[in-house]
Amino acid sequence: MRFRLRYVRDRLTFWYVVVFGLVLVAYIGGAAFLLFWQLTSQMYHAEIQDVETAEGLLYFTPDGRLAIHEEYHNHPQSRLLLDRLMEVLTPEGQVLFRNEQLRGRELGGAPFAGEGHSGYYERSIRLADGTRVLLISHIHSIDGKPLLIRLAYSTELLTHRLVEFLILLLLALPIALVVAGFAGYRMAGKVLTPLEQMAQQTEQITTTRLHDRIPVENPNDELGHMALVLNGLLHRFEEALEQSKRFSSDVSHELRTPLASIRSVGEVGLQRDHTAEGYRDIIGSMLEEVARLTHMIETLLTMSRADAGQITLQKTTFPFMDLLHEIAGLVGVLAEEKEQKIILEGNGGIALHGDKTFLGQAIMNLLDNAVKYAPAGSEIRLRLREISVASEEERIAELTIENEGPAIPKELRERVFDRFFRIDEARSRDAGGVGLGLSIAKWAVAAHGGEIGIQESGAMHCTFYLRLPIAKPE
Amino acid sequence: MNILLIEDEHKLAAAVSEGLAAHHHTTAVAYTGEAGLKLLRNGRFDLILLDVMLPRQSGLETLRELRRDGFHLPVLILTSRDSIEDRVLGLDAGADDYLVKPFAFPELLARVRALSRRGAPISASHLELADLKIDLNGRTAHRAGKTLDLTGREFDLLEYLLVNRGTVVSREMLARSVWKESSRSTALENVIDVQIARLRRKIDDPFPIKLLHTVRGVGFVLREEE
Repeated sequence: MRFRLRYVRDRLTFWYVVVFGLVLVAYIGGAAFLLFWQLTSQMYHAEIQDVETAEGLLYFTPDGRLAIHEEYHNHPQSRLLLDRLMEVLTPEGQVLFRNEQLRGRELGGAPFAGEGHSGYYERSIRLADGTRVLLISHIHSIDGKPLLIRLAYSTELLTHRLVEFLILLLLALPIALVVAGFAGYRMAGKVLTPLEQMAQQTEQITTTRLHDRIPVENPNDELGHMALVLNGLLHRFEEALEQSKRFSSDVSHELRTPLASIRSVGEVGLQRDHTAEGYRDIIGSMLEEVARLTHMIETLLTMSRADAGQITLQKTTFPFMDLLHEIAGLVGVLAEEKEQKIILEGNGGIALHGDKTFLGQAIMNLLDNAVKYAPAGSEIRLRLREISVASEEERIAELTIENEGPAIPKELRERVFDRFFRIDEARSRDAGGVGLGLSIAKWAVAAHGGEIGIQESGAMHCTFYLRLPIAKPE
Repeated sequence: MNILLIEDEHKLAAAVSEGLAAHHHTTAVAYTGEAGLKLLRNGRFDLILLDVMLPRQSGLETLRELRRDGFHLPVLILTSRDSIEDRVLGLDAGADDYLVKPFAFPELLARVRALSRRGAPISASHLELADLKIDLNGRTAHRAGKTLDLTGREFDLLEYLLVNRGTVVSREMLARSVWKESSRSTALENVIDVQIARLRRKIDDPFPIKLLHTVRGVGFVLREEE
């Protein structure tokens, strides 16, 4: 099973400590390496100076042995250098001198060709007993004889110091980590507390207290942004719920109206005797209300299915104008009854890709409305054109339906598309509407990626517009 | 025709069987699927009207069972759910047609008639009622020897009414059969009313005997009043 910390705070602290520890270890390693490198180069430097000093102190005794002036040992600055190991050889490899500190051990063995010829040759070797030394070789002439001088210091002290340094730092590491962990935990807590508070506040917001909002302390930081986003969500949710509440109360109201009619007509009809004709009338009147109820329920079901995304559009590509002709032909008889003229004009080349039934219904509802509200003998104008949009990808067709009916007041232009909304309650009820035609039209157009609305026009003009994406050529 | 009606709603069952009796069908009613199957095994029926929402054994189960038992008679499903899935389920279970509640009675009659004459379509070139005659091939209509000047839509409407003469047709039936629109809308119903009014003006107004009648709250019928 994978190890996993439950809380964000713990996770943040954990990773903080891990990263901090890794950085510290890298830092310690780097520091130790730098120190080692610095000390080594310092040591080589000291050795070079020492070689130069020693060269001046070497001399050949009259019997041909190589010796070194003893006063050198008294040199006060060279106390450290008492540990120096020194060997002098002929370039051929014959050992001429080994100092006491070497205690007979070889210092580097046989010389290789060219050793020490060009300046000071540095290397690190191990003596026979395992002591690691830093060795420097240099060719120097004494009395005209070239001599290979080798001088070395043990690195023991250096290593010892380095190890001490490392141990000290490594001992401090856990302490540093504990301190860092504690600080990190506090810090994470401080950052997360507002989040926790937000969660608690959000928890208190229930469907009955949806108007509550999360307080925003600083709208510009991440948490403030989060709070704003949550508040936006709450707002939309509240609106949706409000709409749904209004819708259910509207539905029950709307269902009650025809039911009330049925009941009254039936009850009153039974109060006294009627002729067969009279009863037929009573029953017929009740059935008319039943038809209205049925229609309303069917429409509501369609809408709830649309809301739930359960309606699949049967899309085909067809000329927009054909659909307009079809619908104008259908609704034409209604216009003729009022001696109105339906005039179709515009671009016949515009094709749509969509569900003909739903789009047709949307346009039919709009046109039916236009016929209903326009005065007798007037003209209803349908204009189809392509409108220019910024995007090159998408082309938009606009259909305007203009009639000479009374203009819809500005404040109602959005609301006429709401379910059950009627501008004039009594009037459209007589016309047999249930107040759902425009909201169905709106849904159908929106489902095709279009929009529907009312245009600003004169007092005695009412213009609906409908914009839909033009079908892309195959 | 002998019709078996399986429907648990007593009021609806009584109304439907009375309505069918008025159109010369005999109806046996069962209130559960089990009772329906028992009746079916003991009698001879030409058609079943089957409610989907039945207590205990559901309508679809009943349907599957009777199909499994080898009954091939047409079945018309009555359902209060009309989502496409529900229709597909019903047709898959072996139904021949479905009708969504609340249905108009003329609609039910029309479906019953359609199912009973399935496989034997009526092909006439002339239809007539009293002194009204139409020629389906020439698409002309005459009344009392006078030619009626009808538009295409008016002719289709008259033809449909004549085919169903004597029975009431609802607006939904007209919308579907004459206007080929599957969805109901107020606009279309207004259109239908206007078209009926115009047709009446042409075929009835000039003549003393009226043939096209409105049955308030139900629909329209073409018939000779006694």
